[in-house]
Amino acid sequence: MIDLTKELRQLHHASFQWALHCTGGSRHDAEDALQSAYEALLDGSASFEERSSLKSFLFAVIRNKARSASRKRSLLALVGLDDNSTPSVQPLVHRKMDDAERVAAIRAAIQQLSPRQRDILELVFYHELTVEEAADVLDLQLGTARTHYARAKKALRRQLTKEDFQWKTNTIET
Amino acid sequence: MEDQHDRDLKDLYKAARTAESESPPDFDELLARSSSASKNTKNPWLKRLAAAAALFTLLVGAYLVDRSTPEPALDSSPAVEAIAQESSAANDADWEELLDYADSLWEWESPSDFLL
Repeated sequence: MIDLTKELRQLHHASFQWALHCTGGSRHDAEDALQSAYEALLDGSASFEERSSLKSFLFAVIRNKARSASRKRSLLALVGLDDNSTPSVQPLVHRKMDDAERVAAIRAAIQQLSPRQRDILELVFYHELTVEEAADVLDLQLGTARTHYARAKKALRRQLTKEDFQWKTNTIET
Repeated sequence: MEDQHDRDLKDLYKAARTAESESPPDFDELLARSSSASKNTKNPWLKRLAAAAALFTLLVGAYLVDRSTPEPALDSSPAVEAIAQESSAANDADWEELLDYADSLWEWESPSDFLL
């Protein structure tokens, strides 16, 4: 039996970054999604049965909560009941200004990818999940996830090359 | 070489994402909010149990109501026979009327009318 609170605390930073990704960068929506996910784990409506890692299970719950909140907001915006329907994405603040251009180029290249490709790169590259775990989080077949992963890498390389990105090493060829 | 390419790409991605990562909200505060919200909602198992009990009651009630009324004997009931005969007679009468009406139509449009 795992100490759920302790595990959640350890995963808190990564969970919030994933929630931010799932909500398109909206801090407010990310906090809501994360709170809903914790709530679901605490009240047992999302029960972790240790068939996968807690991290991939929690990420799947966060993604589902973010998606259902997004659908709800879309519905409210459609019927004109949502006062906060304008996106609340905050501008990015880069800690290292000398790397800002580099970060912006990568960011722009990532934005050119499909949502599914962005999801799988975020999980595998940033959150260090395996492709199998990412497939679980995204509710995809393993083969489909591998295809998205391979295409995402290829598309990212192509986008960076198109934008005359200055690679630090010359090992990447297109 | 593909692995090295992937590692380079991954390092770039991680560096970019780390640079733009935001500090998360306070864990204890968020957990406290989640706990109070989950206490306000009833146990989901209780809801499911109540729904199952309601469905069971409905099914048993429907079964008992169905059993309490005797099934009509359709084969030998005089009422059914009378209805069958009546509907048959009514159908015959309807057919007669319909045929008469059709004859009257054709009679009016028959070539003999033009010959008169």
